[in-house]
Amino acid sequence: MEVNVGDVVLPGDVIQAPNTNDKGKLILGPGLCRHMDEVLITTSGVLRKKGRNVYWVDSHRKRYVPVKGDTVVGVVVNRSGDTFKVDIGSSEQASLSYLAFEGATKKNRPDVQIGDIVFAKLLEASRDLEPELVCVDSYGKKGKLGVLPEGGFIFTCSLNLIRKILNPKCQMLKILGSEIPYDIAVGMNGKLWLKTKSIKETIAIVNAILTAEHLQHHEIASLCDDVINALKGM
Amino acid sequence: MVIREHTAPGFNRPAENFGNHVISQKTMNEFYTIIDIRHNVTLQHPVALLRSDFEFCFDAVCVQRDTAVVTAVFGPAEVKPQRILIDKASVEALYRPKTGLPRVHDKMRETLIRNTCSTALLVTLHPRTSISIIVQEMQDSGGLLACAVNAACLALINSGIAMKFLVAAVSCMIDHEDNILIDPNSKQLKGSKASLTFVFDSIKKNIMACHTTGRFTQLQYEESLLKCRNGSDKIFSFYREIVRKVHQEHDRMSPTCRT
Repeated sequence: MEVNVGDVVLPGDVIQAPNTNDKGKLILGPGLCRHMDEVLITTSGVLRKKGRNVYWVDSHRKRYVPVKGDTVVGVVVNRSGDTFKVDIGSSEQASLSYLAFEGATKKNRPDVQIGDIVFAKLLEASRDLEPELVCVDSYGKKGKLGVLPEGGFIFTCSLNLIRKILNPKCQMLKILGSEIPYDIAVGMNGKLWLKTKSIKETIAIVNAILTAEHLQHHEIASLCDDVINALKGM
Repeated sequence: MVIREHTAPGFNRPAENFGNHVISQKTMNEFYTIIDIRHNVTLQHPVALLRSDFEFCFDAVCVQRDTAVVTAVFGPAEVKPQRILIDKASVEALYRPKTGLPRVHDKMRETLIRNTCSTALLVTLHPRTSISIIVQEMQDSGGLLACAVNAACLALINSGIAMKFLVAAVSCMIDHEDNILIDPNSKQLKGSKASLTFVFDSIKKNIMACHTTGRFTQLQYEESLLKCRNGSDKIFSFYREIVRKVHQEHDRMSPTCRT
């Protein structure tokens, strides 16, 4: 079946030939694949388009598949020689070299223990290779990456919710932050790390974020106000 | 936590009893999938499916008239060394009968579901991983195999795993007067000469799997194949309807979901 942008699509559907005169490239995002001269759908969801030639399928999946360049939150589960194994929720544990930290040298090893939470970037993510993490940018600076401080709370949610709260249109984290001071690390793998001053505030923010899954952007603002008022009333 | 209940008018099935108890406690938004191939009526209030609080687990409850099956898909996940395939994902199906341990005919269903799903999935996209499809029989009132295959497909749709096409299974029977009846119930099946189940793909409607019992002629086989193929169209349009509803549900405000 041929489909257009904005339609509900199912695996096996074919995208209607986007202007054949257009000689520009076509960029295929998640949920699409090329077969001969056709573009086929591989996951069910809604077909989206951005700009002139970027297509993807919006779907609600929960399993993370590593993508190069994503920033993720992971738990260090093992260390073997000069690499750490980090659980990022994918089918395979990612590796993190001890040299991939700011200022790390062979003599000056970073202080990373098993059980630590790291906020890292995916340097390599291919289906045939082990995913590889780094905690520095290409200038060797750590920026926001690195081992997260102790005393935080880590929780998981669907990948769709992550994309929603990281959307620039979503004011959620900003509104909550105006009244409640907190630190948050949002990983594209569906893991979030949160640190506040008290347990009460942590619970409130976690609940607010998880509830936002089914809300639209304008409804999220009133949800945040509810949460803030409830906290102040206590 | 408020559980939304969608009860279609005239939807008082025995399957509902276990559904509300066992599944609602686990799932937040719970729906049912009702597939009725013979009557279009139930399609007007199809109440879809599928999700659990379980981190990476996707559930589909498939109620096909009185036959009910619960499925879950787990993966792409880490794979045991002895099952590892270096160029593709290893697909496994686990079929659990209502009581007791899986027996020979359960293993047969397992094999059929596994073969069908591994053909439909784009397994080369996730090498060195495993994809498990867990099927739990809840109630058998005829057409259990077809229901299990459809439930497995719904669970795969919801999991967002890459697939080449969807699959739909339709069962039919031939009675002693040589009439062909689509989607028979267990009462009707008692008076059957033969029963056939076909699985079709969504692109060309080709047969992907076929399971038959009893005696029939080639002509009867071809006739029932044709009827089942026509019946499969309804299931495919139902799948599209389900996906549309699930996406609307996510886009719409749902105050009952507040925890």
